[in-house]
Amino acid sequence: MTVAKGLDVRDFTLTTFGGSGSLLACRLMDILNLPRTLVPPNPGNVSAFGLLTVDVRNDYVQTVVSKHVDLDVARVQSVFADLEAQAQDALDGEGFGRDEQRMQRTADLRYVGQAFEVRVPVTEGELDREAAEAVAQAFHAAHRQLYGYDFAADPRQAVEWVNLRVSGIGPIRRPDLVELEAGDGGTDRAVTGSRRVFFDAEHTAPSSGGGWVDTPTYDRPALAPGDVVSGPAIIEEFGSTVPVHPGFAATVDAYGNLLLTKESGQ
Amino acid sequence: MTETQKVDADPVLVEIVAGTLAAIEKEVETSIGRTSRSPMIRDAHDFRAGIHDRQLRKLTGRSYSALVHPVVRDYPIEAMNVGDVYFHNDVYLSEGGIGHLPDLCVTVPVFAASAETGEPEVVAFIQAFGHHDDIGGAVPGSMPSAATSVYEEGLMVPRSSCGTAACPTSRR
Repeated sequence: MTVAKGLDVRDFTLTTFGGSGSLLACRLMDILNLPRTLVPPNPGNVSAFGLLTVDVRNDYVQTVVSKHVDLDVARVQSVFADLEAQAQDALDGEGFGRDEQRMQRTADLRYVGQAFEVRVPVTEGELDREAAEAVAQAFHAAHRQLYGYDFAADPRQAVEWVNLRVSGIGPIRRPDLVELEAGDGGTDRAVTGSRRVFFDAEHTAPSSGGGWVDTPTYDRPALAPGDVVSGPAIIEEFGSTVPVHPGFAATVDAYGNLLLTKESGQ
Repeated sequence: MTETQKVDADPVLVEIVAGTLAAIEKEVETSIGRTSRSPMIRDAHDFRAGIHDRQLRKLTGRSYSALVHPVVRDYPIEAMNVGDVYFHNDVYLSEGGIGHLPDLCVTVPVFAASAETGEPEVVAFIQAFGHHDDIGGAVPGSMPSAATSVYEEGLMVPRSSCGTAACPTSRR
């Protein structure tokens, strides 16, 4: 994906999530020569967390094909009103009061003959000829932004309305991301024990030698911002495990993310 | 032009550059497809974009029939200016790059600051050609199978400079 678009993965921070997403993070950093990996807290729940931090949103669309010059503004207004009524019904049913609900109008426009439209915002309230004209102007500008040109100054080119859209939005209260208190410097408080772990010599720092290594295990919730865990180490938490290979280190940031980096050669 | 030099190149960098060029080509084609009003281009996708280097070599390895050579033959690279647009669909003077008159070909030189002088110089060409619905001639669609003369096939435009990106008038 990235290389196919000309992006160098070495310019990016890898993010590993999912319960087992971080198991091979250090190997990936070796193979792809990545500078850094970020492991969020509760990596097994990142997708669920994301889903729970976005507003409820329902989209409605009605096709109304009309050249801009012939646009029946009253009809457009009534279609928007109808779509908004549907959106309100749905949000009512999901427990959002009318005063919380937000309606977002957009329209898809194109130049006559094109097969792809450009979506532009439409102002709320009563739609008059002037407001419709503003939508057409917004389309010219968006077309220029997307494709490098527009026909705003060319009276031979007709603008066509295609779809009217309403998004009904039920805002939720987003969780606050709180900064954690820094630790006391050492990491011994988080050590839970030790176990023999086999690291492939070929992929570990020459000094470590690879093979079976006595490896301390850490309890991730006991780690605090500023803590640095040097590999070899295993960082465990309820839903996931992060192996820190020899030659790597995990630094805890202010929000409890683990940042994996190579200890040498960076 | 065909000399081969042994160079040490980072294989990862080579892939990234190849990906960049392919992505640019794809982006040009996406823009053409999304803005086109011609069914032949919009729906049948009978068009293609290409990136060519300063030595006129097609860079991405995808099949592409049109060439930059006929443009550079008549308009030397040294005389090109920022904003120049070149147009041709002449099947003879295109040296085989254009198969029939409905294939309209547009060529734009890409400029970058010269490492030595800092002045803009041509470093590449972006070319797009596509099958227009109709370019005149004896039958609708401009592909008369019973034609006895090229004049029955439609309008044939020799390589010509359109001046600027706006393309309203011929500059030369």
